[in-house]
Amino acid sequence: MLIIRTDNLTKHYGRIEALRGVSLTVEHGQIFGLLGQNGAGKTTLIKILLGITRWTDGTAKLLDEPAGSVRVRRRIGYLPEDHRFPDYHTGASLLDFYGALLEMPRAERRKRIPEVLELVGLKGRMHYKIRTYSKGMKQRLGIAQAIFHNPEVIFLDEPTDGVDPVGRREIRIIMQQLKDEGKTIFLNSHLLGEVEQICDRVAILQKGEVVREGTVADLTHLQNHVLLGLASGQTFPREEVQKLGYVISSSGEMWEIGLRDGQSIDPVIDLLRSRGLSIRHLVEKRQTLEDLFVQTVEASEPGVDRIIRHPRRRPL
Amino acid sequence: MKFLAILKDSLREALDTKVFYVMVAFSLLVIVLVGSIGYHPVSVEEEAHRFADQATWFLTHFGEQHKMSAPQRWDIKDFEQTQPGAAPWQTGYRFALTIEFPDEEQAKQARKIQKLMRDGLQQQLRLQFYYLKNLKIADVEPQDAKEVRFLVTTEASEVSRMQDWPHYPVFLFSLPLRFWRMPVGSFVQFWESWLVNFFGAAIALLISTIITAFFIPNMLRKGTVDLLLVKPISRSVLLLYKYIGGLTFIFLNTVVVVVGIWLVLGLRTHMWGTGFLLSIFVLTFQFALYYAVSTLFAVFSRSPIVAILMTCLFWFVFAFVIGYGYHWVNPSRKWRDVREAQIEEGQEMPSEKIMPEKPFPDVVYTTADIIHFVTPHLKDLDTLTDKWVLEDVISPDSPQRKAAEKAYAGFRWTEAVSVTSLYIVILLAVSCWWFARKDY
Ligand SMILES: Nc1ncnc2c1ncn2[C@@H]1O[C@H](COP(=O)(O)OP(=O)(O)OP(=O)(O)O)[C@@H](O)[C@H]1O
Ligand SMILES: [Mg+2]
Repeated sequence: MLIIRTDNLTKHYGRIEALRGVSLTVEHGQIFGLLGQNGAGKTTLIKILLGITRWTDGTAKLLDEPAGSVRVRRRIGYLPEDHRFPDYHTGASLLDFYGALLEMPRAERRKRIPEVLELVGLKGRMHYKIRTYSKGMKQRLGIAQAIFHNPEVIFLDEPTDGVDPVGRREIRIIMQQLKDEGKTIFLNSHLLGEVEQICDRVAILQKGEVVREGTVADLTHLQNHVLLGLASGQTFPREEVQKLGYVISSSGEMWEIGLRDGQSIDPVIDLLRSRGLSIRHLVEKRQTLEDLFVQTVEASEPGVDRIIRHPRRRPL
Repeated sequence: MKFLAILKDSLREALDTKVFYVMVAFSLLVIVLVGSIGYHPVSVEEEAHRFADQATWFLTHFGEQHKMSAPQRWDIKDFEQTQPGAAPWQTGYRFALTIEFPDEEQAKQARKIQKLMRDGLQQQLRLQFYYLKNLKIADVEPQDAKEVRFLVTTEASEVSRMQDWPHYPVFLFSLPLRFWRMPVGSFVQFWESWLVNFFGAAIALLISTIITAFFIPNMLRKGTVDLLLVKPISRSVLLLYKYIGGLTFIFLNTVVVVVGIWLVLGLRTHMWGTGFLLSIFVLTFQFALYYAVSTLFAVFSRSPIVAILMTCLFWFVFAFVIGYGYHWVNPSRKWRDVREAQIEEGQEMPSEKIMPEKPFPDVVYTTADIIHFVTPHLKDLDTLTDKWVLEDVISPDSPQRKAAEKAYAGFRWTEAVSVTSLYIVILLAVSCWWFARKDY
């Protein structure tokens, strides 16, 4: 089941093209990570899906309704970036207020408030005014309000911003739990290590365009690179392997063997075996998401914004 | 339920900004001040003595300049009600006014001109005791060789109820203002009209505008509005609820102030007419218009300062310039009628020149009528409260009431209410439309 679907989604802010033909799908039960440099359009995409901002062209659907429809909003949780909760509320009263707007019955709100605040570690301060909260506490409250009404789809725009390492781990665990409960999570984050750990699929947005998309495993998997290590004390017959037509480079204790199209690693293994060498490691090389990200982004033109000459129309 | 949640949220916000307490304190202060004013019925005996004392004082200090050099002491003697034990307004009075001179010779001189003094004195006394009927003064034989003696008699006043008898106010429980004499009803009318039109319509509306001007811009702040826009409530409804929330808040405050003032005035004067209570609705209705202006600019600019300034500008243009302007131009059509009536009653001398029928050319009136018709009728609404209060406290046959009724006859209340409502609707519609299509 498709939770999110955008086709050729375009958004112009005056002369700024924030999104340029974004086509994405997010399936039920996934944790989807959206990566991209500052100003790439990540927040804009979420805002369009939630109806906070209108789009210029293309289509955007959320839960089978056009994005922004009032009807599906009860099934959605959202943690905006740079959120600013009305600070005259306490943590508990804020949740109560939002819960009432979300049509939750009073009894359910009463029951759920301590529960969810306990989950994010704020229960002890739930009756304090929000203005007395630290930055990370506000962020935790943000997570609490995003999952308060048990939504099916949760949009988190940089959820771990300002949260301490322990808190970040807790948030990751919460996200994992939500996923296990069958929720779909749409995550914007700059913390690639985290994204790598929990996201099923990621897309990289570059100046309003999706430049990479796929499962984390697919994207970080480097085709045709094999890492090979021998038992200690044994010498790798580098020149002989090169003679077989392979590209070799040393990588610490190991050797990295590049395979050309159609080439197999088997002849190398046969050669090593015939020499009586014992192979200790043999793995396909992966790159970190960070490597991929930097590589992808560096490949594109520098700069954050792209100004178009003739805006089709002036949005508000 | 969503509406109540938003209302509660606004209330929480208002309580959080201490301005709310300032407003409550201010309202209580007004109620206490109004409640601290007592109304005492004028006593004819005291008034008579005051009259005599004042005459003595005046003549001692300024007598010489007026060529009435003889030092003299005025006094009231043998004061009595013609119907002993009756209420002050149900009885006539009789008392002697005496003037005592230092020696017999001066008294003798004065007695020679006693008849001359008498007529002037009668005029003075009639002015002083305007509420007594048929005041007469006669010369009588002195009981002492050094004095000149007059006898003053009056019939009972036409007043049938205590509150129509003149009273004087006592401020802060102890400061009497004896020269300010009016029937209690006129005091009530004075306070109620003044409080509504000055305190209510200007100061309280300004404070309310300032307090409520923060609600919508705060809601629209970046990072705050996002959280509301993703809730299952349409933007127009959200804005309207927020608007009605602010309005309800001010309505409740108005109820407290108006009912408070009504209660303390009622306790003080025993006049429990309910016309004043209707001003709650007039004030809230006027505020509804101002708040719609504030809402529109809040949505445009997200700045409370802009919202407050534009609301003040709106008030200045529509209530002050156009409102007062029209209320000055409009009655001028009838100036000649009024003057002719005054001439007939002998209050005015017929002048040589014949007054033009209207002081301004017709085009001025037509323009004024058109501008008045198409703008919110804020001043007319003020008059509406005046009218209700007047009907409450002033008896139907008093000249004040008759004059006012003539003046009110020309106002079209339904027009005032409908045109103003139309403004509220249009302002809110534009606000909602703008809010609904804006990117946040
Ligand atoms: N309200 C707005 N008006 C005009 N331009 C905007 C507006 N909001 C965003 N933009 C522009 O749209 C582009 C995308 O912004 P967006 O906030 O989506 O970036 P992002 O990927 O979330 O960046 P970050 O990582 O910094 O949060 C930027 O160039 C930004 O300047
Ligand atoms: Mg962003």
